[in-house]
Amino acid sequence: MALTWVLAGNSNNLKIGKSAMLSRRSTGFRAVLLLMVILPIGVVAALGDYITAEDYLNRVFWGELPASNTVWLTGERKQRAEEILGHKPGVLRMRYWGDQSRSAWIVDEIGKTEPITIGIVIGDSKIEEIEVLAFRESRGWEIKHDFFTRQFRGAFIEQQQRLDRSIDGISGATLSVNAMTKVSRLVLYLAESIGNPKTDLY
Amino acid sequence: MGVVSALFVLLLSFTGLVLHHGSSLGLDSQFITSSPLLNWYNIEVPGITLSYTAGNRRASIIEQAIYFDDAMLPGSYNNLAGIVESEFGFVIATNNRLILLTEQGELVEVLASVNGVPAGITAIGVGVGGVAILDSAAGLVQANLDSLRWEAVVDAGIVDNWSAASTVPEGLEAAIREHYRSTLLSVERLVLDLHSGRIFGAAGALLVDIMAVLFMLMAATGVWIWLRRRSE
Repeated sequence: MALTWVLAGNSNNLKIGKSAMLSRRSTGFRAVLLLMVILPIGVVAALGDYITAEDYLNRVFWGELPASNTVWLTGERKQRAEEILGHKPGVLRMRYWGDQSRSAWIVDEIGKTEPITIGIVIGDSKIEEIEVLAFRESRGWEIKHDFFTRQFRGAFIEQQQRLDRSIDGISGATLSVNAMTKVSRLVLYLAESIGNPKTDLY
Repeated sequence: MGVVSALFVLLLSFTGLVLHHGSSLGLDSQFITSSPLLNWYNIEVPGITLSYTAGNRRASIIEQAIYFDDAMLPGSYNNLAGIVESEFGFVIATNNRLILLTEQGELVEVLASVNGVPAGITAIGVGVGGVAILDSAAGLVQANLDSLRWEAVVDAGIVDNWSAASTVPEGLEAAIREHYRSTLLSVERLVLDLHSGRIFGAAGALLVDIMAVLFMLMAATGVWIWLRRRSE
């Protein structure tokens, strides 16, 4: 900024620009100060558990929690899960509450280095809703906002377990966006196994 | 002078380029194992806090990592209450979670309060019929891990065997600490520190600041000279 003023001072044409720059500096300066106060608060507020698993399940099942069951990630399912996640699934079985027509899942998936806990409800083979239950990294938490998660509502999977739509990313949150997309595809895929007699066999 | 700045420009641009693609290059999941580098960072590994055995397998905790023998389990845990054998393999208890493992130590599932796991678990034992019993804040609880039923137990006598802490044999302790040490410094951290100069501490960071200011000055004065020449 100092240099630009020096340059401006050396040219007659830019003298007006210099005084204009001075008054811009005051409002700009104030805006920067304000941001410096708000941003750290925003970051601190973004970390941690937004909602416990119990509270989430109570909400999506209106207080009447159904029994839970599991889908084992073995054989073909393990392979597909690995393809979807881009890495070996960390667990051998995944739990859901509900049944074929409507199920809720709580899944942990690493964003960058820490797991993001995602709650997802599947109804009639489509995503009814998806929510971030806990976020543990300092960046990428923007995916918790409704403006982002509502893109997933009504989504289902097509060929190769790809979502029927493309998800608009958030710049600076690519890894979190990827994590949420992968979890959606995986859960939609696994939900197909509910009620299938082969499901609960190891 | 020109050569030095050229070298700096190369270093800063190269490390910057690498950092830009850190995730796709997997830099945050690759770790430095070289001792000289780890020593440069003064990375010391603490001792194993606590360890228990079940059968001929061992569960140990070091900082927030739990190891099953010499294999680190995924997840972050604040404490360890014990390990017992179960019909499908093993169960490791922390104060509020149960980690279910197969015989080979593969992770089946981690159960938490949402599944009914009682809070404040201080010990895990095996009761009649091989059933897992937990000593929790709510008293003794019998855990049926298939149906996820949790029943209060009145008679402590049904516990055959409480998981008890023991010392880790030297060889295994060394292997665990060596492995844990190699998870502490990621390649990304190293490249970041090279890029910012912080690998040489505050002096290094200051040097990079000075180089940045010099580059800005060169750019600005270069444009100024060009402008002046244009107006002649």
